[in-house]
Amino acid sequence: MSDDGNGPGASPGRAVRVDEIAYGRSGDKANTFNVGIIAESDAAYRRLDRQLTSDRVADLFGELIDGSVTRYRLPNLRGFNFVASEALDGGGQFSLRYDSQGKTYAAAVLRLELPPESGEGRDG
Amino acid sequence: MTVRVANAAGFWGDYPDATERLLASGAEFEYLQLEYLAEVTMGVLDRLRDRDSEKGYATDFVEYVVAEHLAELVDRDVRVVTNAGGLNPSSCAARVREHAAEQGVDVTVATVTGDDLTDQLDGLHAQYGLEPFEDDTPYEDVADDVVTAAAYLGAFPVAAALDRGADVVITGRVVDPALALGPLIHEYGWGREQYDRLAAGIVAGHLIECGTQVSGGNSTREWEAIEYDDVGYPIAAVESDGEMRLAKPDGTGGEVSRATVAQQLVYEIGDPRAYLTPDVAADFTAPEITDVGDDTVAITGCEGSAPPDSYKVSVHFENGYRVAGNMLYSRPDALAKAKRAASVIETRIEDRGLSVWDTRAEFVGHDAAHGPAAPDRDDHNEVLLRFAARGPEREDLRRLGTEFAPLSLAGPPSVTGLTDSGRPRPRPIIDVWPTLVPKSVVEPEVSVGER
Repeated sequence: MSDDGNGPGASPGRAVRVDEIAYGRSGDKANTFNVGIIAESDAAYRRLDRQLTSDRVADLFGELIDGSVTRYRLPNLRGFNFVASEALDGGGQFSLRYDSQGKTYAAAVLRLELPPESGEGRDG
Repeated sequence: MTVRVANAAGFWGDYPDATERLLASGAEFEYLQLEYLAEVTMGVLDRLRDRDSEKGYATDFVEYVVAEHLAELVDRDVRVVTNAGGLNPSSCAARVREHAAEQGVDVTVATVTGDDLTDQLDGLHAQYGLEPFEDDTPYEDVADDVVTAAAYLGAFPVAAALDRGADVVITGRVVDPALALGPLIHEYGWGREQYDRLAAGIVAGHLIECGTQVSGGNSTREWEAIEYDDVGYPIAAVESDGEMRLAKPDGTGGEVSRATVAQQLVYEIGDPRAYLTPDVAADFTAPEITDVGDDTVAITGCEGSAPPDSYKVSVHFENGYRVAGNMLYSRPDALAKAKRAASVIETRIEDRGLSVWDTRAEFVGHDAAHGPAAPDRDDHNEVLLRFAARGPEREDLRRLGTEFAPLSLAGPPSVTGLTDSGRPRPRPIIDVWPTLVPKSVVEPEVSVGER
């Protein structure tokens, strides 16, 4: 992990993969899955706040999600919760997916690469 | 005073020897809670009860916890709280009493029921108009196929059973964290409007209800360094003011850290500001989690507010059948071969006129876990084709199950894997339709020491 004094993820000038600066877990409730992502540092939290948007997560899963993605913040954990509705092919027993409960989906988010940031929005 | 609640089952299928390991670890705790009911488990329980009206509960509890350890649990003054009752708490309780009698152990067994709304559902719909919780499917679409419907009860009935002297509390459907909050209400006398404390109990219960998933299992943070042999089951030690410590027995594998606990806090939740239970809306953005060393974390500052005025109800209904089969293709061009095989099955479904709603071909080793979120590549040593379908007719899906093996002679080359499991068979789908009902229509029942 890079560390420029502000903790991992504080080098906005370079691309970063989410799992370099965060970890997480996913699971299901009926036809909804959620992905919780926890940042390793305050700087990482701010960068994820700017770049790991609900749109980016929705784009990643593409056709796997029929509904929409909502992002919630958990500042106490430096974390985020992404909730994807109508996203498990019916969920539980109805789904034809091998991963019918979205158990591995956090790993997909953790492999996302966030592009370098420039200009506004960067941490000082 | 501190009340310690340990968990020894995170789902029906968890290690049968979890209780044995916890007892042998030397760790001390006053309550043992065991969680067995996932959404998908309810369908399984329904099928078991169909075959035998005495079944429909999580037999692992009776077989591996009660039969083997009841005497020691009683001897150590550990009280047991579990949702092993499933669809048939009274039958589960009867088995526990039989074992107690056989072992000459004096225990008071209680059940918490009233969650089963199956027979009232049509009446409730007529009176209140049951609304879908998730999508737009109206009740009428599922009404004729309902097999069971259960309200998620809260922790106060569990506490009431303990108040009345129960040593073993067997529930039907309750919210999972109630298995920990119930004992805390009983011990500390927390009131119905002490929302911050109730929220602390919910946080404790939520954190330990999945067993070892809070103590190192499944942690994506530096997993290579985690010892997965004998991961310790979690123990929450909660004070009367709601502050708590979470730990695992000394000498066990796994890890309890801010990282493992934070991952479990966000597991299977929606809006973190309001984790809704019948007793409290817990705010998961409030607790502070701090490492205090020795695989122990401190959790402070839990907050909650008034609960909703409804119970969540899971309505389980029959919704067709599902079948899935596998074929293994080797290099070279493993993915291309597997894709051709899948297209042959698709064509055969069409040619034979088999009735299916949907099919899905996934390529294990390529995209079965992450679908379009996985990177594209084509150089695989091998690929497992997994082909799944669902439809209204069991017979058509049984016929579809015969379409896999012939491909070993008639399809793309370098294929194997027929000896593992034979022809795939269709299984009925027990689907779930979540809804809400007004609290006033549900009467939790606590039955202590009687049949």
